[in-house]
Amino acid sequence: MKVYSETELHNKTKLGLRDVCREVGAEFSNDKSNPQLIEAILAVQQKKQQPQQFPDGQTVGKGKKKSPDEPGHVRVTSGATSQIFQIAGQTIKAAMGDLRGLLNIDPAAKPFVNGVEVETSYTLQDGDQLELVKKSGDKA
Amino acid sequence: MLDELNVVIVGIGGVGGHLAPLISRYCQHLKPSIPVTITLVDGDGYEEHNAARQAFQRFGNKAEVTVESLVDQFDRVTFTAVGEFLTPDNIDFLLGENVIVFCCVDNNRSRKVIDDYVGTLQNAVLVSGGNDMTDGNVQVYIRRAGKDVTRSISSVHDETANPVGKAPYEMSCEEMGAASSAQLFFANAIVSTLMCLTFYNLVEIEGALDKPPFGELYFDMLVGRVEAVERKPSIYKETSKEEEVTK
Repeated sequence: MKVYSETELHNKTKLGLRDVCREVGAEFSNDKSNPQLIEAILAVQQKKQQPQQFPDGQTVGKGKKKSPDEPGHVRVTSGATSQIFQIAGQTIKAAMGDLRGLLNIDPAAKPFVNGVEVETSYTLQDGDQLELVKKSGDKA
Repeated sequence: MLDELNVVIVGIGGVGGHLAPLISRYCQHLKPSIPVTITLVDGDGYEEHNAARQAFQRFGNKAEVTVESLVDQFDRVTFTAVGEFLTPDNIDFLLGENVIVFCCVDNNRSRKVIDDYVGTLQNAVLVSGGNDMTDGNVQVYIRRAGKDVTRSISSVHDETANPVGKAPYEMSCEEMGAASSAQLFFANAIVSTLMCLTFYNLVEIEGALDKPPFGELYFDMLVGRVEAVERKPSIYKETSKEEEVTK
């Protein structure tokens, strides 16, 4: 299922948000403002991701463990968090926007794909391992 | 296992002060045929406010006071205290070939000085640790026979490559006092434990110095995770990024 970014949701009309609510399973009400709907959608998306996480960082979909080798899948690591998403075909810039809230990604994070520093315009491929380098702790 | 161990711990604060006895205890019980020297480097002194995160027996220079307590406990190890900050002027005196440096400083300017210098050595290991309130990381930079086995810290982390702010040796006492900020003892302890884990891998596991299992460890106390990341060296410098990525 597509994961909507906050920016993407802000660009939608109330009607568009209603469709997204239906798609992700968030409660829709005409009484709710757009920011309230966006908050509800993001909360549902986040809830769907978190309980499905295995201790090793891999995620499950319908009882099946995902592998970064499956078509469309990319492992994304940001600091101590690592999960697999179906985001092959997206640029890193777009993926960072979509996953920013979920993985607490610094917008200025330097991207590495399979250990190599790349530009954010790089298009992710099946099985790629994307690391968004988190700043070092600077105390000791 | 290496034939001898020359360990230097730079920064004896919340991380370095916790790390020093752990590494010393481990080295105390190595084979007697392996000489071990451990040098502690810090120009700062223990003060009352340090007691929340650091164990010390008296006020005074951190390197000197800590070495006093270690000498009594670990007679198998040769300890040296250097009661001054590491600077570009004294680094070549403190770090020689085949050194294992634990960088436990709280500023990126000093990290960069050490990272750059290690990059000039033929054989050396740099293990650098740092934390924020509840998360942090440990980075590994290995040089073997004049080549990078892992990437330098500056080549991955822009905040180390382009440090902001002053190093302690550039600060006045007032500036140093103002620079200290709230930290959690547990976060310091996790960093030092992960540094020990790294040390164990590198000195005990056959071939780990040539092919380390990881180049960086991240931890986050709030989600209860540690993530290991590889830092493959700069074979990538010889091919374009596009070529490497499409492989």
